[in-house]
Amino acid sequence: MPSIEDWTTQPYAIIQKIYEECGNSKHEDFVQKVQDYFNERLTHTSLTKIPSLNSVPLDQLKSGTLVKYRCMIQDVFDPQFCIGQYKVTNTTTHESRIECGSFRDVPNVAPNETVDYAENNHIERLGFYCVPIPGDCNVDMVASSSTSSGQYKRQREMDNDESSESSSDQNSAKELKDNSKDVEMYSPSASSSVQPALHKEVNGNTKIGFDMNFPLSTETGLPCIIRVYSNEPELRTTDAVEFVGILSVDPQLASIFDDEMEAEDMACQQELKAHEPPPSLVPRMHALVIRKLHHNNPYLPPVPSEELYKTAVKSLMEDAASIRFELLSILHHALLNDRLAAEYLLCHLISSVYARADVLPLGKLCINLSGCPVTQKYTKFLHHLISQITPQSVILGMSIENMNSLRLIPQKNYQVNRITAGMLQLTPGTHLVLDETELRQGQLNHTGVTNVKALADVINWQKVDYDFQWHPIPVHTNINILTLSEGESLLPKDIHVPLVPDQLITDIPSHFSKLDHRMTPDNLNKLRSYITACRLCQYQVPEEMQVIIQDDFVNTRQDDPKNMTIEDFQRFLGLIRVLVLTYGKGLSNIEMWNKVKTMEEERKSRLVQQQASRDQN
Amino acid sequence: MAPRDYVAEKGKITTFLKEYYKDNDNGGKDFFYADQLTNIAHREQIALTINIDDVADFDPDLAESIVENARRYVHIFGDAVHELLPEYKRKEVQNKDALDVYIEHRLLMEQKNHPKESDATRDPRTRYPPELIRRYEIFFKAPSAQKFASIREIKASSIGKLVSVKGIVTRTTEVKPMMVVATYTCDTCGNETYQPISSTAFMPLLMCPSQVCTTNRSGGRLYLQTRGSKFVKFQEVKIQEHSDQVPVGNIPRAMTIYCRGETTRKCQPGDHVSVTGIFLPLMREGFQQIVQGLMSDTFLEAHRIVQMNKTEDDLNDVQELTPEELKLVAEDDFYDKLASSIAPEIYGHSDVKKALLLLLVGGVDKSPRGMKIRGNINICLMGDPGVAKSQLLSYIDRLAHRSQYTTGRGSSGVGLTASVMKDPITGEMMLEGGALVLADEGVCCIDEFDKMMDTDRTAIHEVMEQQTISIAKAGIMTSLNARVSILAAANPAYGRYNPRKSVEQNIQLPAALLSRFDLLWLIQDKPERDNDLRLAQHITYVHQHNVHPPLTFQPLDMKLMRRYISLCKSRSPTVPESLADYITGAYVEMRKEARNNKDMTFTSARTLLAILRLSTALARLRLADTVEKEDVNEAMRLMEMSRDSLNSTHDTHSKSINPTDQIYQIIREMVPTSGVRSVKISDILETCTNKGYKPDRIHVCIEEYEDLNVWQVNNARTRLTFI
Repeated sequence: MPSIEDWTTQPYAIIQKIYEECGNSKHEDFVQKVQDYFNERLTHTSLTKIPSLNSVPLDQLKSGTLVKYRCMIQDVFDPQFCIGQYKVTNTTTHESRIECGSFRDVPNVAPNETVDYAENNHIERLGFYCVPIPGDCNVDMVASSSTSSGQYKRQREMDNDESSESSSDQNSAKELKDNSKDVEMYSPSASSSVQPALHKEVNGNTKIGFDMNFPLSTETGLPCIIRVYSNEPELRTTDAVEFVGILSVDPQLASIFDDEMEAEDMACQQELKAHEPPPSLVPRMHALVIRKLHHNNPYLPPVPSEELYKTAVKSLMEDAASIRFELLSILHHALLNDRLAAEYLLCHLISSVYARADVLPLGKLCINLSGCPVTQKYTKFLHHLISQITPQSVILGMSIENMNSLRLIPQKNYQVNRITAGMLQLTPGTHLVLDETELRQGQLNHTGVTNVKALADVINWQKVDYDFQWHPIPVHTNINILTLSEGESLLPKDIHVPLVPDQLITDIPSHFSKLDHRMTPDNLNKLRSYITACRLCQYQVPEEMQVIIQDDFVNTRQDDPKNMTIEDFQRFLGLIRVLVLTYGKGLSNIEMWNKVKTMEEERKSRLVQQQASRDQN
Repeated sequence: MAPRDYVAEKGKITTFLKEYYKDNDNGGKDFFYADQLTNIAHREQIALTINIDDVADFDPDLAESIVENARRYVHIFGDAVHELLPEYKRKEVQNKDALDVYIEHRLLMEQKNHPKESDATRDPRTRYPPELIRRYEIFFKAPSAQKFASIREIKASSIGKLVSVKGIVTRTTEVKPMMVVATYTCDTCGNETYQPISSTAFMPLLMCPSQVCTTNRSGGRLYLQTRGSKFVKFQEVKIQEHSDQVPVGNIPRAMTIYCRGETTRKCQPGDHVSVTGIFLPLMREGFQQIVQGLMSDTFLEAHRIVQMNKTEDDLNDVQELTPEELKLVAEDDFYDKLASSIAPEIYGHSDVKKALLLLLVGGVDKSPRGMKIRGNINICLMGDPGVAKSQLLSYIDRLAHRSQYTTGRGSSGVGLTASVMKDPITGEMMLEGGALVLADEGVCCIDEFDKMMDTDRTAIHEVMEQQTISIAKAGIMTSLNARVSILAAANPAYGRYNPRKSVEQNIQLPAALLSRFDLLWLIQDKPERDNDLRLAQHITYVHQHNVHPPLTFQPLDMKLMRRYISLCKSRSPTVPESLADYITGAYVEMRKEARNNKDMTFTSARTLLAILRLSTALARLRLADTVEKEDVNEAMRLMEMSRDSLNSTHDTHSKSINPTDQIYQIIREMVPTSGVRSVKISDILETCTNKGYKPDRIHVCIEEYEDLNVWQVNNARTRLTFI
């Protein structure tokens, strides 16, 4: 029985052993056996001992050992065909052995050995270009919890400081306590810095003009190319996945860049460069264990169907009411003492697309908060708060320059045959805050119009049409979009909530600083776990409730169809679902239905009031 | 598996090529391949395409082994043809190019130098490699039963097999010459040496291997002869999966295709193609192989590239419907069934769906004496927000063979029609088709039609009647075909449809444009207990179970619908003489009616054409060759229904509209909303006479309502005041 050290440090020996055991059986069976072997050994505890590519710098990891990596799939490469087995012959002793070709990039040969590829046994493997989860708010915490990475974490923070100073004006950066969050604010200067890199790549002049392809151009971290040998589970772009596999950073892989082939085919060269970057920049990993992430919260066990998770959530949900109260009061404070908006924001935070009926996404709840203060960086403070309580969040300033220059839609670059990342390539469950208060009058160019349309598509249909030049390819998303605007947003929305701020609050920074003492790490973890758990809860409408709801719909329409349209009804059903979930329950009841109705009534009366006051002016 | 006896296979192939024939119409026999061999022997044909179907006719086993191991059989076929060719040569062939002369000389040399065939001691390399002398190419055509696969279905197990894929071309290289046989001459002995090349790179020979040089040890060096070597055309093409082959949420995959000889220059980027070829691993040599390590690239060696457009998509699609399928479609209630299979998840609206079905089928284009009368049916759906207009549109978009979907807000006139662009690299002007051009012979769905700029909308006028787009820009004057059916959806101008106002006012579209729509349909959101309850149940079901509730009927499969519709389109029914009178009579009746009651719509000559179009579409749907009276009646019924949908709300207010009531309505509308509620009589007279009412009628109306104490008229009878 090999000890844990053996299978983490010398996985190849084990794979070779399994390969020999399998003999002539099919390749799929062999891969399955390898995966089973490692799956069995990866428990919750042994996983923590495996170094993570996310936090440990590459030079501290050894090629050929087991590592783990949490990431988002940015691009899916075409399948590669490689040689399933090869014969190694020792030139001095003339002994030969058969080696398994799977799970490695370069053949395992000593200097005095030759390789014979003659065995015509082709196997197929898939390549995924992965990047760290964009907008991941856990990074700092995960890094600090892992012992070996203190140094790296500091490095990362330094990077962030530098870029934040260059990207946003210094005064505002200092105002915020944690300016690393501010980095995610988009400013034209940040995005323009990406342009030269792209340019270089096209020219092919630079040796390592490699675009890391992060959806958010200010992200740092390590992308990785993952090789997968089985078709299960099916992985798609923007999936959040945790891989455990064998790291491969053999310098031989980089030699493609050195070779001086008489510029035989430029296009081919560019493509090769994009797909086989030097492993020092983008390491390779041969996946042994693949786990799709249902959530990205390190404080909850990863698989919702497991007992471990269920018990953790159960204990958490016992004081759901008190956590809910706490969270609501924080939001209440942050929304300048607007109780109704706080309720809606809470619902928004835990909403998630749980299913799609045909093309209609169910469960989304995109909110437009209008009437936000334009001054004193209110929107940034609010986003900072959201980023503290959610696993992933991104803010996008909708200024004219940003809309005209940013690449929101991922685009296929046929020259290098890969997808250039767009900002809307986000993992499911990411909170996207759109800051429309930055919008001024001006002219949108073509990019701007398509960008606005892309945002509207996400809000309406939860899909992004990737630009494949000849035709768009729709990709489903699950992004919670919160639009902060002065007047009603120009984008579509599910719910429009006019904010009624407390007029007495004038100094917003000091108002927000009052929240600081409540944001203890313990408290934050609880809130985060609560939000994550609520999102994943199951929900049912009992039979009798269905009847009540349906009758209500019909009766309201009898009085006046304008009071209850189909959209209204859909919204009610969506709202009651999330509202019930915020209480940690799974069944709706009449009480909740009435609460939804009062909430909606109050909101509608606000809209009417606003309309009236506008008419007067 | 026992190794195959390839010599026997070659014998089989030779017999196949010689003896395969098809019976022709005259009762004789067409020796299909033998004839081609003659052409090849006379250098009149280069490509010899072997249809695997024919081989399967001849010997099913052979056909199967060809598909499994295509590369090998290309060679065997090549050898067989090579041996057969002299038999088919009937006349001397004129030399066409330098290579022919070379070949001739070489053959002569061979005969002179080695008069006896049994010269076993010769180095095989100095013998002429067959590739050098062959001037033909062998291609396979995949069996028609083989389905076109998508790129992601081609797996490692397909390596070496003959496969067919479909995709869209994303990149093509220029056509370059590729060396097949390198010819060298020795500088000392003058001997020619040949080197056949099968991979992408080769190591040139240096030392002369001829008998003379090796025995003399003179160390003759070899020089490459460009003129004596053989080259073929070579092109690399990249194809990518088409969007409908990509599973939801996945990224399309790509594949490299190597085209040689006659298969080059068959496609350009953006083309939809189907490719038959052999899927092979690419063997790299030398340093590159070390770099590649365990990985090997693959490519498809093209044997047949066919361009296709979306209308004749799958070859399978065009196939005849099987009797069972026809039975399924052509039941008694097939018309209702087909209609309700359109967007089955939307309740009711059966007449709208019928109209949409007719739009898909379309009428017959006619061009009597050069005047073009369109057969395409244009429909405009109007209605309150949230009545599933967009859903209907997007369903049609998916169902139609060829379609474009745009929204009025997102498209300018240029985006819809065509624009002249300057190519940034060459500086050439080029035409770029917009949505309407791209949807030629299909459907163009335009959502939010009302939100379009007026200037952009005018671009559509021409398309809707003439079915062409004229461009006169930057020195380019041309007219592009845009034989499209337009399906537009519009929201009422002020959020909700106001039944008191006319159509033009409601959606603020000019009458000229509206009259070009064959059918205008108003879908209203009206409270109705049963319907509402069903709707509520539907929505709660969706929210509860995440899927649409099971339907009470089995909707037809989208693919089947598509095929049936394309079958319908192949018919072109005519209107029989006997019906002409009936139609004209009906039209006259409609005109009369329209004149009598002040209507929200208009009846014009275009209406007559619309009826004709609808009825021919109905006849097409029945797969009939003549239009029958029933068709005309149904067409008129649909017209009537669409008219009713626009007027119905109006009717509930005043059941029978007599002129007096109408005048009253006009007067009411003239009353200022604030201040003194009075109107000048002279104004009333002017407005009403403008609308076609006689003055005495107006006076009757004024008196009648005065009696009813609705209003008062002052003594001078100049002013009317409402009470």
